[in-house]
Amino acid sequence: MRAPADWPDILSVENNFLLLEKKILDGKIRDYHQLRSEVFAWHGWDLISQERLFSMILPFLQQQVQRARRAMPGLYADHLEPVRPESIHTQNDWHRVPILVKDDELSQGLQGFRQIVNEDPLLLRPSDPAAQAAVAFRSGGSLGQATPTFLTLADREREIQAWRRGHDYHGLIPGDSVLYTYNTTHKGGQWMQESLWTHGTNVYLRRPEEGPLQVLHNLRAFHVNVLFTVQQPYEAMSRQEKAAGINLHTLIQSSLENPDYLGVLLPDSQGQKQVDFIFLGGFSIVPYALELVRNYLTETPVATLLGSSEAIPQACSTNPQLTPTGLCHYNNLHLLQGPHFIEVVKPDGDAWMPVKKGEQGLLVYTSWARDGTIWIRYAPGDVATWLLDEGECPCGIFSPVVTDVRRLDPAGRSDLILYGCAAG
Amino acid sequence: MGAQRVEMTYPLILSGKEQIRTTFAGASNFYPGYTYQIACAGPLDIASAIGAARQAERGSIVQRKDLLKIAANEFNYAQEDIEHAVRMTGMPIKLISSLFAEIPKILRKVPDQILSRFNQIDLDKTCLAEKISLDLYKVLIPNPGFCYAITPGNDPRATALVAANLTCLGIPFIIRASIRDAAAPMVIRALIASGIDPRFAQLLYLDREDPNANQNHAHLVEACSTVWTFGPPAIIDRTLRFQPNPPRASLDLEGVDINPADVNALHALLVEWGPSGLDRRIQLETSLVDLFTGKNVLRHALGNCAALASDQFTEQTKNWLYASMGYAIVCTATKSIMVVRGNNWVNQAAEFLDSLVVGDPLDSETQVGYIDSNCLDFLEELHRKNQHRATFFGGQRISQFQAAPLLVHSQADVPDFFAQEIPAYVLACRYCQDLNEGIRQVNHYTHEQPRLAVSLMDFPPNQLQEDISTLHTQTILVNKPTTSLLYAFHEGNDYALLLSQGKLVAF
Repeated sequence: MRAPADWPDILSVENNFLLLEKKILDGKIRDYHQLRSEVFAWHGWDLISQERLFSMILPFLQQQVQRARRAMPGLYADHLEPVRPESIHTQNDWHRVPILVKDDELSQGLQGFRQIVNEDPLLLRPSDPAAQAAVAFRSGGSLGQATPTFLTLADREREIQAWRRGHDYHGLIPGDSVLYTYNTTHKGGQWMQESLWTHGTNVYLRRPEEGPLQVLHNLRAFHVNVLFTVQQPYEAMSRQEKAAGINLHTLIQSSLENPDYLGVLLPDSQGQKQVDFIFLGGFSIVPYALELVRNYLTETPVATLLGSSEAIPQACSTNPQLTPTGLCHYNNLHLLQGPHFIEVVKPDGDAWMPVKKGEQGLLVYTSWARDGTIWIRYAPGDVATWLLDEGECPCGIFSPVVTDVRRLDPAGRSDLILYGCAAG
Repeated sequence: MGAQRVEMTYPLILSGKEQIRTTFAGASNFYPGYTYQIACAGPLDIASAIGAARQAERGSIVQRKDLLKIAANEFNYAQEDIEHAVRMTGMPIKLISSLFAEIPKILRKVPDQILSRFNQIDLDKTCLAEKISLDLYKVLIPNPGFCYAITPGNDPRATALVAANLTCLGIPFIIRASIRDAAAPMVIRALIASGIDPRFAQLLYLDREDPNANQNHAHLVEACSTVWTFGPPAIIDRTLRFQPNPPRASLDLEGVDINPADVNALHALLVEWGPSGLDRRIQLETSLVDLFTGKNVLRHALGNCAALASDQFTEQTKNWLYASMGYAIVCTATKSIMVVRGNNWVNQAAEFLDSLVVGDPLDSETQVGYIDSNCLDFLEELHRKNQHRATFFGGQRISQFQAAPLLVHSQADVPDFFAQEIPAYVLACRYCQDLNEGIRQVNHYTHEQPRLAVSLMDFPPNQLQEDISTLHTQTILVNKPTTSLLYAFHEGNDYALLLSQGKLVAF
């Protein structure tokens, strides 16, 4: 794990990033295919102002709007009909690009795409050659039938590299040993494995038949110092489909019941333990998980990274031990820009404008470097509160901080949202 | 009486630490508005208790005996603890006070009783051993694992009884105390203060209204090696032993010419049959899982204690009679008496019972306390049902929770009163020609399982030697009430043998 003294090392904009910025601004790079996937692992994306960032990604936003209208007409032909990509020059221009929603949002006059996509899911696969050879990952479908997001191998590479910034902010360094209990048939579980691998860590998976004791055994046997696990809240244990997996609760429970394993996840009588960091990902860290951390893992830093089948990464918190003065802990998340452009917006006339500090808005993203399903200002139904403007977080990461990210659920089915789809 | 919410909170005691994370409310059935808080053990509290119990140091028998003696000295309580127990049980304060006062005695006497039998002469001082001959010993090795004991709400001595025996025998334990048991935390605190490994003696509570309570209980049973329950089997089986498996549906395929393994054919058949066709062929099956399978289980048989008395009715008899039936809500209370060669005993007993002070259990003069209204309703129903078959003395209903003691005299066959245990102030009485007839009558009204105890009062010793072995009971008490607590043998259990593995050692 990275030592706190080494935290500043990752807070400088890389020279390569500056060169990339120059090439883009000089017009030498106007197609996202010209970007190597490795560029998304650079920290510069999170260390520059929104204004600079927008200027950098503008050509690719224009490219994807153009492509979306052409290659995904079933979704975007009418929706983006009034938008002329070449006329988007400023952030204000961008704010007038309409929001895309999955479910009807009649109060805002927005028509959702779920119904037409349920009838023809291939509407979400671009028809151009870039999107050939795509894998479809379905979203959880907590509010209805799941919809697919198509991704190519190159898309996977971009997101895997981008996730590495999250690993950096969590303190992972090459040589660390990570065991993860996530479901490898889910996109998040696959990407996790490959991003960790790419990051230079040793990666250990949990086989589906392995119970918590075996996981504890493996943590010890493989000298694992980082645990990635789901945060299944206790309240959901009675649900069979959720209870099958391994999660923070069951691992703590097994550690307590089997004192031979004290010193692995939980401290032994000398206060020593093996696991230095725990990743609790997927969505917000739920109150029960925070209670577990407070009561049983006070010395183990915990952080999360926000992502979904549609877009990884979107935002992340930092390792509290690395950023003791930071305000970006637990559910306070720095936006992670690239390969998706993340915004939190509210309606303002015919535009959707960024919210101000303290305001809640819709979390929307635009996949500006993706061959597969193109999301243009897509609001999947999450809301977030703008906590800190850019440059305000004492941790040194420049990007804004959002908090209280949660699913907007008009039907009141908050349990499905809160507990997510993180069955391990 | 207005609402009386007390600031009392009963904590979990896990590894010596008192914890209150989440609580639930306890309330008195008898004093409206009297409520207090109890810490509720969650799954991780339970896991912590299990892990600690598995690691607990057992020490040697000599050390454990000394610790129990220190614990006896450390045990202390306040008047408010006694009053709390009164409010929760409805028992008279004088009786509750005497039960609390007995607790240190239990902690001291259990090791004495066990060591007097297994006095480990000449052997390793860490173990109990029975000296069979000069060169042959039976060494008692404590059972492995830990004991999960579920103590009752009607006897404040229960936790002390469990703790004393298990500590003496070297078996760590987790007590799941009744929320009505006011003494449990004080017993555990006294043990911790004695210097015992705090992981050895732990206390928790489960909220029965919590949807996860059954799951948490099942987990504790699964993790332990010994389960210790109190209460009649019918209740224990229903509440603590059996839990339902998820229901299953089976399909009757008789006369259907398909391969049941062919899922597609089966699907087609189900569609063809439709709901009405399925109704005739589908059967829902429910089953129970026995949580106690594979566990060493300490439990007792039916209570329904009885007595045999001679016709004498002295002051001693009065004391014995009150001690026998005055602790009405426990399974060791005497519920029927056969009086040998009696003619005026019933009238004297009725007069005595009528003289007992009925009142608020918190009043120090009260001898007859509160009883659950369901029990009193049931008793009234039996009274009406059998009014022409017996003579009834007393029993007047005073309030929802209180009635005068009821004495039922009958020479007829009245199993409603002679064969069942009703947790109320009630006593059935019958005259018998001689002791043999008395024993026959006691046995006649005994179920397949023996009674917990039968008491014999005021019989010549030579007569007892002849007859009493035929009594269908686990314990015979001579000139002692059935409510006498045998600290190392409660309810017919020989704890030393039940909680240990005997190994013969020959020299």
